[in-house]
Amino acid sequence: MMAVCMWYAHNREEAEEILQDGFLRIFKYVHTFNRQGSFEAWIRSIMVSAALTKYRNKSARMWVVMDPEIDEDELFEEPIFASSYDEKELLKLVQKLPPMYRLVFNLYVFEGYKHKQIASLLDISEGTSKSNLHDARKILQRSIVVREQIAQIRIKTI
Amino acid sequence: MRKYWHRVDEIFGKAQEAYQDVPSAANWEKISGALDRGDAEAYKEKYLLWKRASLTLLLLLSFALYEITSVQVQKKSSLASIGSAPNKKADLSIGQPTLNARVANDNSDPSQSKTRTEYFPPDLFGSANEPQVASPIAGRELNLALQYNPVPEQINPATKNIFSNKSSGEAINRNISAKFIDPDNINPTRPKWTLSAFASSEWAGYRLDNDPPNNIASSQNQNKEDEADLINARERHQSSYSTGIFVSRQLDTKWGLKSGLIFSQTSISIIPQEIYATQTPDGSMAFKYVMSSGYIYVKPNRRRPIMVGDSIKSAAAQHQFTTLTLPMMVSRYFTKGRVTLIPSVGISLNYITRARFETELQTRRRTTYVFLTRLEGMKDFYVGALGDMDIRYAIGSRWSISMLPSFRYALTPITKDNVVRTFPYSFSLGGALSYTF
Repeated sequence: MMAVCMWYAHNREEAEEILQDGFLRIFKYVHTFNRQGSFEAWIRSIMVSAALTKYRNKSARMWVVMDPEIDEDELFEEPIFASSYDEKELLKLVQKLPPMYRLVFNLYVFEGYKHKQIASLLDISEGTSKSNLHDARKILQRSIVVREQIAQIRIKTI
Repeated sequence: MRKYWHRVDEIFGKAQEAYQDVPSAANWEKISGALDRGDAEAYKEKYLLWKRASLTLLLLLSFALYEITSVQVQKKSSLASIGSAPNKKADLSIGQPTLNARVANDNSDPSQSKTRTEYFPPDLFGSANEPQVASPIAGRELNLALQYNPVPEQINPATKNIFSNKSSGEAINRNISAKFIDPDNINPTRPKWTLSAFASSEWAGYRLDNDPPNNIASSQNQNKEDEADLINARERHQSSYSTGIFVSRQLDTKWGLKSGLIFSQTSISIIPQEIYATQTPDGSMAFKYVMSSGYIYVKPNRRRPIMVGDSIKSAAAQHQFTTLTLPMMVSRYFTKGRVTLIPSVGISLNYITRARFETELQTRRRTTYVFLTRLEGMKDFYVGALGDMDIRYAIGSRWSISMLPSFRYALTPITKDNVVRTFPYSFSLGGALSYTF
């Protein structure tokens, strides 16, 4: 579950805070587990809920706009993806996302929530959810493509 | 650009699944500390509720038993006093004609004969309507009456000697004591309470009946495999135990009532098996794990949706359920010396307070740990029959030890809407320590 918390947190310290809060909730509400699905999935949902609670409390600092340094033209070029990526590097990229982008991206991609559910969970509109997901994807895609290009340049120079 | 977003999602999705991390030891210590502070209190409160409920139930049961037995004892006492009142009065004269008769004989004129209340204080014998069972203080009062009330001159010398002689008074007192004051003679049906604490080891099992409407094997499979046989082949009962208290009420020398609270834990191990996808009541698909006590739906966290015909392998599983039993039994007492045999039979009301199930499901990419504290298709309540043989040995006037073989059997199934109907039973052998008051 620490791994789950890491994807929702900005750094390791925040992830451990979420993990603590999540485990306290698990022990408190374990009797409400309704047997629908596995216990692991239930624990994961508790951890996600703990993460949402943490960042919902910081909502005033969550609203950000698209990184102005991103070159829009670059995004329209055909990206080159590597055959494999180091998950730790990708984790760092997600952790660097603004909190609201990170939450929307994680909930949509990892948890499989729809925009309507995400909007309800984060108390935002569906449009905002779609917009944040769009922005998060653009940031992440730019990051992994650029990194791949750098890697290719390095290979060519060698 | 949107056509590449699925690739972005896929890359990060795979990374998220592959990434593993563990928290630091200090983090676990923080969690443990927080649990000790906060959840320990909630834990105590949870069991405080059970303690209160059990105590209330016990008090109510004790009160009900006391009321029932009091009425029976009063009836028997009334009948005994009606039948034996004249004899008890006669006993006052130590085997001689009654005091009233003697006084009457001493006065040949019936009109001159005096009643006993004229010779002795009225409160010595009480009113005529009172039950003529002497109280423990009656002997003492009689001595006092003989001391402070001179024996009338009308009584003949022989009789007078009886009353004037101090030793005769003591003899009367002893006689009254022997006949009336002895607790066993005051009321031979004097009830006794016995409180017993016991613990026993159980050999548990169950009888499985196929429940045709829900028996998937017999209704769908061509080979019509018997679900009960399949479950019997998969499950093995492990050592189980019971503990609790009995409260017994001995109504007379032979019969009594018995109740109490019994806490039992039954453990079952289940061998690895393959479970299959099925449709849940809400319309979604899940893997169904069937056992004798009920079933569960499992939805492992995986990317591909569960389809009809899918299967998944489960590791060996452990299943436990705990039961709180309220027995109501009738007992028969056979006493010889210090040993008392007390066979009891009755019915029991059983509440399944908790069911625990754990296993691991193995998919190609990961192992999912499944831990449940409640099963589908398992009832909360069932009625059973039970019997035991309390072989009791008195180690003192109030304390005794017992060997307690017993048998319990469910009269109603513990399952509903399962492929089988399950009737658990158990044999147990335990020991008890009893206190009689």
